[in-house]
Amino acid sequence: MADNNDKLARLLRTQPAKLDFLKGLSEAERQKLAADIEGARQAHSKHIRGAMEEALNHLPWLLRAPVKKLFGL
Amino acid sequence: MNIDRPTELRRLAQTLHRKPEELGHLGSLDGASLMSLRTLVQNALLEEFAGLFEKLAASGKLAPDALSALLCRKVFGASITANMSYYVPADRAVRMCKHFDEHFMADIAREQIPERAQDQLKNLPVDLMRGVTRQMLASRDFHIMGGFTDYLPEEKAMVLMEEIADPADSLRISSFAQRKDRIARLTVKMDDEQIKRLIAAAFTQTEFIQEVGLVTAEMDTKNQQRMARLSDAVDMAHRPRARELAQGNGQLSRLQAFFAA
Repeated sequence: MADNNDKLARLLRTQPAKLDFLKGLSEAERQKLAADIEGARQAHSKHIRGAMEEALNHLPWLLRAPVKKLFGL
Repeated sequence: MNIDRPTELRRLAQTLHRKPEELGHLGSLDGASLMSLRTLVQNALLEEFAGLFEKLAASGKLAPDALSALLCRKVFGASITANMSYYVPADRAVRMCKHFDEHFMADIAREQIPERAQDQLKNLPVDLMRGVTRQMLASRDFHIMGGFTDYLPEEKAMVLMEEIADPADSLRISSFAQRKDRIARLTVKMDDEQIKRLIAAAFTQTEFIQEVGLVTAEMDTKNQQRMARLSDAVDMAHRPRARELAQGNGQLSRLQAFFAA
């Protein structure tokens, strides 16, 4: 139970103690929730990275690498 | 605030790219817990790229509004612009919006977290929001409109309601809004004919009847009695049907004046 709380806290970028409102969930339910959040995170990440790639395509290719570096991409 | 669980489940499902029926494993969480969870998920998704968007927003702060707006439209696109908007002062964001068309603004709104866009909602002229409302109605983005309704200043919401021609659409939007008290205040400002059309639309679907029940439950005695009178004017069978449903979902005590009238 503690491990899953830690995993959820990591995914939600918060402290495990702040997830007390989830204490009614069983371990299996926490695992499913963690998978839901991870799925949403991956979809969001793919969406944002895709949008950034598209934006960078508007720049001359020589500038793309330094701009990527500048913004930590 | 009374947190309606089905409303919050619908909103969480949207955030997680799931259908509400796919979240059966969260069955033991009440509305308030689902809301806390949704807020945490949304913030976590935003935080992952916070540094990037903050830098992007800061990099354009010396550029004229028109040039920044042009870059947003032609280079960054709606998704990046929406995420950057949280790090742009509201007055500048509003000035930039004046250079966007309603399609682009609607695309931005689809990507925004309403809780984070409150300053912009407060400062954006309502005439700029009309076009966004029409776009969202056309694309049936009721879940997004419902989320924004919770944070939109009420006088602006009242104006934007004029854009909603189909009363069923009002109910669909309401089903994604958590602040039923605000919807109730907007509803009581409608004239009798508008409310009768809303009631007629509501009694075509069980979910809509429940939605009207949740909104009516937020009204005072006088307005619940008005809703009862108008409901009877539409169809005398409606209130008995609503009572059956209210008994089933625990809303009966909050609708006493409506049923006693």
